[in-house]
Amino acid sequence: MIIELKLRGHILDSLVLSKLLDQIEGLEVDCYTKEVKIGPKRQDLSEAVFVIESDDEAKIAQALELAKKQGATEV
Amino acid sequence: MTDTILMCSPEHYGIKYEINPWMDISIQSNHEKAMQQWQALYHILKDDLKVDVRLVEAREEVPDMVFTANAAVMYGKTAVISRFKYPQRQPEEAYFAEWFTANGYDVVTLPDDMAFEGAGDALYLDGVLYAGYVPRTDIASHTYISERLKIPVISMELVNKSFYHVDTCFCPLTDGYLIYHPEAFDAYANQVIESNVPEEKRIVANAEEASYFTCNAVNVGKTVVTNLTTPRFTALLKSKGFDHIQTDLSEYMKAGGAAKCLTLKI
Repeated sequence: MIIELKLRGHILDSLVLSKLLDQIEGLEVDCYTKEVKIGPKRQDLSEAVFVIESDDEAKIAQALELAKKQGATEV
Repeated sequence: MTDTILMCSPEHYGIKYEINPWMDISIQSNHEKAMQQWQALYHILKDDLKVDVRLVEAREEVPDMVFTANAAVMYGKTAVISRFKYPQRQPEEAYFAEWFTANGYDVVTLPDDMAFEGAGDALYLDGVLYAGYVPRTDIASHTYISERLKIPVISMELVNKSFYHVDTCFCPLTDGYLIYHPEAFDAYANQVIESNVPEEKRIVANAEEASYFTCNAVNVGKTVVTNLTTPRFTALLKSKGFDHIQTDLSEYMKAGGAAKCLTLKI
């Protein structure tokens, strides 16, 4: 199962992207960042699109739960 | 410049439900004592610190309306009204919106499904809004507010149920100082705080002090007003150039609130 997720906000300054990727990798779910757009000014939002992949549906569900808590949405 | 603070009389305050670990309906607040404690805080702010204190009318069905910190987060003359997580507090939203509108503020509301609990979960430090999330506020609200107000919003995850709002464990002070309790935050939030606030500006409340809601402080100029706390903390504040006023807010601790929760800088 492959799912693409998007995270948007001050995700770099807040370390939210790093945290979420660490947490998902901790589940031993394959995870890679597809695209990162960095807000040009301090007040601008950044955006990351990343992919999670696993044959284990339970792990995918756990990863999605973690992603939701950190504000990620399915693309 | 004089600070302006919004407060709400505790005439209808009481422990009428349980929505945080501090609340226990079998341990009721003493009404008379609660009124006296609120009056003491009111007079410290108004008379001693010359704050312009405004009042919003208390409403019977919302006992926690006394905690005006949760009304909204302010940005100049704009009030971003809270979207309370729990239904018990949701009727407050309309009352606070009504007050801000009647008093000449622009009111911003969030989408219905986006929990956000105002200045209880969002505090400015050096022009950046530091916002807590998970227990009461959804992180999605941070993105929404950042876009609406065009300001940076740093998200910090709260991991200790006793510190369910960021203002229970994080208090920016004058000149870039910060009172906070590191154990209330996850490791990433601590890293963010340590990266953004120089060590000499960080005033760490220990576990005992945090349990007295010492971080739930009101800062006016170089004075910090808190619930009763330790001599160590007073000395710590003094070493950083701050005066410390303590006032007993034990009746509000029963609902999980103290000085900051009872006020909103507007």
